Amino acid sequence: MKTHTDLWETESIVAMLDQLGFPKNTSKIFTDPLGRIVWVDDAFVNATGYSLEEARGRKPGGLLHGNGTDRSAIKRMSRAMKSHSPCRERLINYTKSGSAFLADVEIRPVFSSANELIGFAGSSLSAPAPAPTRQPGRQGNPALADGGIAGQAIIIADARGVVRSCNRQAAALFGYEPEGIAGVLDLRALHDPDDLARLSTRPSAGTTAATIDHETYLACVTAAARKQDRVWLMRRSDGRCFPAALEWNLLSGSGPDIEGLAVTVNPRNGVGGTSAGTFNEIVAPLIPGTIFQLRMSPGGHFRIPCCNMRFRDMYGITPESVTDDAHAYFERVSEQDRARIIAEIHDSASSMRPWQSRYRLAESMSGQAPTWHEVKAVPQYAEEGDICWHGFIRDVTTSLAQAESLQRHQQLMLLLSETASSFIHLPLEKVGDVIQEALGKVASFLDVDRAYVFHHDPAAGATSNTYEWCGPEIAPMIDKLQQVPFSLFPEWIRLHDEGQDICYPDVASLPDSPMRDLLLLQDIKSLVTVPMPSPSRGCIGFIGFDSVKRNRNYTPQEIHLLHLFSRMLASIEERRVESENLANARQQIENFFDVAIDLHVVADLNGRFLRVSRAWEDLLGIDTESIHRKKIYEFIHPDDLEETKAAMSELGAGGQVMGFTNRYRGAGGDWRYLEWRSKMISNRVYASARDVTNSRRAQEALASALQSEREAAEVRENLISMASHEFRTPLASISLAAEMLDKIAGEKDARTSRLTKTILDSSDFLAEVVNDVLDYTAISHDQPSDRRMELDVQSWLRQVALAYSARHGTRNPLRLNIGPVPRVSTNPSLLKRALLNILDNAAKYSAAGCPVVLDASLLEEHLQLVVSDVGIGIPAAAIQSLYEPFFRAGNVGTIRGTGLGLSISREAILRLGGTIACASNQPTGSVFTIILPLQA
Amino acid sequence: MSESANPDSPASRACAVKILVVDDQDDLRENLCLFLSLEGYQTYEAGNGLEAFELAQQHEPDLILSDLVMSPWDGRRLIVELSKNDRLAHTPVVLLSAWTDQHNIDECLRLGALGYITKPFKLAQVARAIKQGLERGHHSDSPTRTASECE
Repeated sequence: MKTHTDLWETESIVAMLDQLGFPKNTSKIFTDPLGRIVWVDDAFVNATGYSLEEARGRKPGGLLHGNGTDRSAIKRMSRAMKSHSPCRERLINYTKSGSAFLADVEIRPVFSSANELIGFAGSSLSAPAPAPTRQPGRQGNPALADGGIAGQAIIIADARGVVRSCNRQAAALFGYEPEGIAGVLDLRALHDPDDLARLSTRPSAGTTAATIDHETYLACVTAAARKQDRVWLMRRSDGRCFPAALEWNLLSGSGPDIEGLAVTVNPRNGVGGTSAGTFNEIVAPLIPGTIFQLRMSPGGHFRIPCCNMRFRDMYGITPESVTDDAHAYFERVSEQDRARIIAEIHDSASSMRPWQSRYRLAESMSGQAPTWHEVKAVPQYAEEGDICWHGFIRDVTTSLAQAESLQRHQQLMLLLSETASSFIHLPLEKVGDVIQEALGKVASFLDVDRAYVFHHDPAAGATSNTYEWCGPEIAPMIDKLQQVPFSLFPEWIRLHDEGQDICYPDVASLPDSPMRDLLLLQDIKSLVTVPMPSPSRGCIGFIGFDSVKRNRNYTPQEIHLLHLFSRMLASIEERRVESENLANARQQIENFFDVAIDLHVVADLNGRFLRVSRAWEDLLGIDTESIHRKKIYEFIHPDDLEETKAAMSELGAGGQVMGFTNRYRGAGGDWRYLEWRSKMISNRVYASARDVTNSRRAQEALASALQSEREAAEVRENLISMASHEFRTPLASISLAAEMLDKIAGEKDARTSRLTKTILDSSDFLAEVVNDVLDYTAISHDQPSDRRMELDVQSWLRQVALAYSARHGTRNPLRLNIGPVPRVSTNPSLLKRALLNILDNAAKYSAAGCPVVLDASLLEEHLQLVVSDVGIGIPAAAIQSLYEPFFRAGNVGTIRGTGLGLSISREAILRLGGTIACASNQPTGSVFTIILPLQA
Repeated sequence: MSESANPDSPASRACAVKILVVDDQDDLRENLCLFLSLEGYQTYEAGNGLEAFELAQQHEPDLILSDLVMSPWDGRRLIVELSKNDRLAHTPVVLLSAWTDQHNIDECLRLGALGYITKPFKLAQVARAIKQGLERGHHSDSPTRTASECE
């Protein structure tokens, strides 16, 4: 029996399908109007694993569709078939063995000439082809690796991310039954949630896989996967995670929207094992350069059948262009190196030793630094007599430049440290030579044309070129650059003061300025200057380097080293200045020690002279050199030794000794008194002595003179006292005798009475003279403070008034005017004597009945006592001499007086710290004013 | 040395008040005694302190008028010795001296002198001092000393 399908001869079906114009590389089937398979071609058999016999009579959907197949696509297809319309869908199909593959399916209805449906023709483009296209170990082009290797795990999901199907590898990889995944899991559930959370554009602590919506997930994951720059962390059903690379293919429908996704999961090391493909994909891009295979035929023809995509970046030519002929590669090698490396390759071929070399690339732009490549490749014999090198090439331009610059810096460092060490222990006078030499060395090394050092002169506000080194044919400038005012380039000075260097790689490109003009005038193309900082004095100058012949760039490291050099020069200069200062200071001390009048000495605590001034030579009569070896005790008076040693130990205890005096044996053998000021500082005694012998002797003489004077005064005082006694005794006899005579005889005889009265008056006056002389002497030597006491001025003045009345009765009444006066501290008996003398005078030289007035008042913290009378007054000419002892004015007439009263008063007032003054309006009376401090 | 009294004098009527005058200067001592006897006192004379002390023990005078500087025994010694003697301790002593310095005067008054009269003096001063001294000696067992007029 023949089925209706038998009606169709294979040939006629093939012919018919050809007419439909399906693409040649598709697999094709033909069904009857009910959709049952009538015929399949070999391609279908290959793609699905079903034979024609197995397929015939079955519906394609029943054969090929599975869990991963898009249901909506199936519906659309069946709708189209029912309406006898063509349709086209991309959907997941499954092979007989269960592997999923993506199929681009086109179905067209086939009508008879009578327009009757006779069946459906289908074509399917399978991609990815689940066929084993590559074998591990075979060299493909790693850069073209595009996935789809046999045995890869593939998962199909719909547009919403729901897993529709997966192949066995995928199911095994994730630990699910193939059926268990479809329709159940979201793609997101196959990821490690934490890993997925990192996709979030705004990650936060609470972000989990669930919070990333599907659209975001899709957008991020597909973008990331397309770039292949990420290894994902996937999660198995048992919770274990594994890393994997994901490859995404979007399954587009008829419209612009995607219909679904096919995800290829390539596990990385560990879970799924590695393959050469994975190795190439992952490792190759990580290599800093290209890995390649170079083949040389026995005829010497080179080709590069295999290399990764970095090759294109490094050489600007595609890997394809050298697959059959390496000519283009060799073209890219610089002409200078090309012949050499070809020779090296030949050498490697004949010796079978690795080819290892560096070469430059042909320069694309003139003036640019060349690009250097380094190659390492291992040769091996290959089929057909070829020699095949496997190896890699990398760009070493940067590392070579770094190495070179490092080497230069090391050399410069070495140079600087050599220079620095040459300065140690260098005598100062040779510093200049060494600086000059170092400058030349550094300049030569830097390959500049001129190097120089400037030192500032802050006092002059100028800077001067102190050292200069010039390259060949370069004119020296040093003579022209002396005392250049700071004001010519203030900015320059300011930057240097702040410790900044100034570097102009291209002077010509500087903005217009006097500075630029000045530099251009000297033909300077580039320059660098670095300040010389001194810790104590700020910027003391700068060093600089000019390039005249060509532009010169400086690396930061070079400038850093120049700063070191500059600091080194600054410290040398510092040392030189300090040494000079020290030498000057030493010389100054020498000079002072030479000229000093005083005796300066530095001694140790044992009393040994370490250093003495020249004056010692004159004192001791020994030259200073001889003194230096001796101890001070050798010269000291034996009686002063103990005290001197005590003073030394006081010094040793850290004290200082001032005004100590001892005696030294002088050059002439006499003893000289030395007065010392000395101090101990760090175990050295610094002392200065003065020969006080002469002043001491003068002092002694003065003291003895004073003593004699004092003794003489005492004798004089005693003498006066004695004399006064000797006067009084006979006076007492005379006076008594006269009185008795008057008593006995005077009553009867008026003449006797007159005579005895004369005797009595004269003896009274003599007694008064004696009293006054004695008083005057006593007051001159009295100390008023001895008997000082607080006085109530009012009551005290009344006592004085009583005494006055006792002496003068009522002949000249005393009037007291006492104002408000405070208490006064003074010696009352002295003051009373002074005041009474003046009152006595007032009464004595006034006519009977004329009053004497005493005013007391407070005047600017002083007690003022004024005695006025209306007596005979004092001639103006006499006022000056009024207080001289025994002086009496010319107008006293026959009035008796000793001429001592006012002397006594004045002496007493002076003793009390007061003053006395006299104003006289002769003949209308005298006014005496006494002014006393409230505290004598 | 000697003793004298003027029976007509007022003092004699007052039952012979005894005054011992001590001075090494004869004329002065004799004139003083003359004056005192004219005033009616019974007088005794001594040329130095020691002699005066012996006479005082013998006659127990009512007042002693004494010079200061004498030998043996000066006026000060005389005062000191008198003060040690029970019977004579309260005898008033008025000193007469050519020494005028205040220290000396103060010291004598402190020792127990009733008065100090500086030489030369007026007889009126002497009379006043004797009067004061006798009043003091009569009315007080512990005589308070009074400064003499030294001016």
